[in-house]
Amino acid sequence: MNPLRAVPFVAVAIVLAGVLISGPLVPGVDFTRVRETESGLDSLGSGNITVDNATLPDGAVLQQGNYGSGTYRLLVPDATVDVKSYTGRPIISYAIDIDEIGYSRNSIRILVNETDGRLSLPLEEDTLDKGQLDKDEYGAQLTLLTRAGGNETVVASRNVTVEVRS
Amino acid sequence: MSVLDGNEAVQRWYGHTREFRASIKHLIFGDDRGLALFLGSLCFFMLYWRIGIFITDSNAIATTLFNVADGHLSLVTAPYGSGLGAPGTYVSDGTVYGRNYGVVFAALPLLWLLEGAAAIADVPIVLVGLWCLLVIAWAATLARLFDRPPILVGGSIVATGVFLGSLTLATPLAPLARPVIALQLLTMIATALSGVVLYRLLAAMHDRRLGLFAGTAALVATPLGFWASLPKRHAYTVLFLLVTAFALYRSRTADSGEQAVRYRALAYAAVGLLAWVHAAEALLVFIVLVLVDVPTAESNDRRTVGLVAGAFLLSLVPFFLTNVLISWNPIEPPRLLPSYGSPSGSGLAGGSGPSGGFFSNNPAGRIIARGLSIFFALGSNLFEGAVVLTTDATRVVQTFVRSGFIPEVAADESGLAISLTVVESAPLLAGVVGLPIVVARHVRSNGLGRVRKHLGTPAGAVDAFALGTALLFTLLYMPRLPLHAQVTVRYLHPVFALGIYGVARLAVTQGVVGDHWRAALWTYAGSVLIGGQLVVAFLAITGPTLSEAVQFHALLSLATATILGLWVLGAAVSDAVPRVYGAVAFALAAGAGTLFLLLSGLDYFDYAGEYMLPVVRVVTDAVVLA
Repeated sequence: MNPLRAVPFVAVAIVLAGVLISGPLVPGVDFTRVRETESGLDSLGSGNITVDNATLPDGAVLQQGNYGSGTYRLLVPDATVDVKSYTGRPIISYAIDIDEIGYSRNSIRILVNETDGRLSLPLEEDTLDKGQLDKDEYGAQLTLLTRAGGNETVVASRNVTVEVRS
Repeated sequence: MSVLDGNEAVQRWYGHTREFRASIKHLIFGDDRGLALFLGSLCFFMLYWRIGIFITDSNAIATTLFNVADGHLSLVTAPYGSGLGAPGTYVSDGTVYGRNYGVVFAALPLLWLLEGAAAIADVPIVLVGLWCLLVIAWAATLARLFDRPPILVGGSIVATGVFLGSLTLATPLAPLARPVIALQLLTMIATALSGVVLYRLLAAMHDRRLGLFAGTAALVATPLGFWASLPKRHAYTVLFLLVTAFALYRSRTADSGEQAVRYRALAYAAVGLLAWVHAAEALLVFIVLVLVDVPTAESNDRRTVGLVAGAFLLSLVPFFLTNVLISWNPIEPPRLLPSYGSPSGSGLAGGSGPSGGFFSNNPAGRIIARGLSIFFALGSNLFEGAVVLTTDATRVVQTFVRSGFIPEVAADESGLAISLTVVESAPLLAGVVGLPIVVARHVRSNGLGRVRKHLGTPAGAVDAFALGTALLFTLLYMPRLPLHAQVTVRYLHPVFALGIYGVARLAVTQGVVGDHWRAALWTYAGSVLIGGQLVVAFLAITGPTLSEAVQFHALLSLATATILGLWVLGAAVSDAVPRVYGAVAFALAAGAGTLFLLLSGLDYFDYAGEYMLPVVRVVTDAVVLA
């Protein structure tokens, strides 16, 4: 008999056996686990932090999207800051507010096990749609702040212009 | 006992079931090709099966199933989404009800199976195991069809590999996911069966190859595949509609009068069951069916009509019963009741019928009044659709040709431009541009008499039914299109299946499928496997937003649709247009449709839930395009 003919039967047997083993008939085996659990969320924003020399970009851009999708990408250059020292897990937050259209967004950076020094903070890209925009430029405010040990400190803040480009 | 001994025992037992299996196969799938199409498309749909809720009104259906499984029609507990406030819940006499009860009751056995399986195994592993067994069964069917045993060996090895890999990657599922899983499984089965019925219809009309082209294309290159695992009612509309078309054809070609009556009864029974899912759509199909069937039937003697009407009424019993239990009116389905949550529905609820005297005091009077109001509402809705279709070119274009950013639609969709048009979602449908030419030439050379004669043939009856339902569905929903939360104009879902039917009915298509199918298959494989990689690489480099990615597919589809449309027009007019170009045009359009299914299912809309196949989840987590 051709041994290859047994392959499908073995395959079916393996699948059925695996299914049965996964159940309560065979105790102690569990194939399903919750993965990527974020531990230590409580300690976020704890400790303290000292920063220096914060710089914010002098403008941002709303770039029109492709394929007639009517979307605009909000592109904000990185902010930079010197971290002198820190303890615990403090947070640095980088935010943009475009009050005219009621838009605000921020990105946070959690400091943990990082070497002290100059940090570059990106503001994650976001999209707005055509329906929200009717002007060529908007006034916006950029803010960099730290959160540590229950204190929120504004490190730098700047009024900039967001240019709408097509 | 060695593996081989057990193997022989299993084979003996398998042999005993041969007759039973053969009759099931014959009854449902027609033959091995139908079975292979069914199994293969299920495996395909499950690749991008995300367990979860994609559109908020599916919460209402899951809630309904949860409560029906608990023993009550009304919604007592609402564990999904925004609870009772989810769109798709209705109030009668102070009690809240769901909708699509036909789907809910059909999903009940699947839910029981899942609950039973959960008692002896872990549900996520059961589902992965199911997929692997389906792959093995598919491979076995293909091996038998082509007489190539290695296909079965290869399929078994792939399935075992995926299964063992999944064991190391699986994540748990909450018991609350089971009603959703049951609904999703049922929708996938219904969608796969739609392809099978389309295959059987065209195989009976022409040949198996054309049937396979139509069945496969409808499932893997049109939005039928997009909504296969997303539990919306549209999949059932398509299935029942195609069953009616198939039964209509068979009733005209049956060997005996007895068989003809049986198929005619089936055509009406399918409509009756559709009413249990969505009454307004069933009413529409019923109107077209009567208009096509009665004048063209071989005989309308008292016995035949009695049997057919009896079968139809019998198929309506579950619909009537459910309505009586909910609203005390057998022809008032939940959809016509006042909404509990946010307003939605088919727009037929607002019709006004006669009132006062007999129509208000007598129960029969109330039923008649409701029936008249439904007819008036349907009539005015269709008329309104006709007005939009003939006068509002912008909306017609935004529904059928080019979507892009439509402010009114985007406003209800968090500013996204992710609702495509009919051709953007299924470029193969561009082939229907050949239909008017064929009809016009027919009329010019043979006069209207020839067309009338064609309508009297079995195929002509199905043609008229397909054209009529496609038109009425368009008119029914045109007053509301273009609309948000459609992605692929899902309200016109039947149009995709009927459109593929129409394209397959073209002589030029039959020529390509008959003579150049190898070229078409190779081009299709190339456009999906190689073209697909190019698209993925391009999107990975340019990093589009969700709207951009979807609109990129829209333009890609329009480009292939244009090529196909031009070729069909050319080929229909002149024999000088090379037929092999048609194979390429069809394959590119089908490839664009498949790519949208795969990339939207595996990447753009991965937020619709957790991937059933853990292996797929790991891959899609690694590659993020939009």
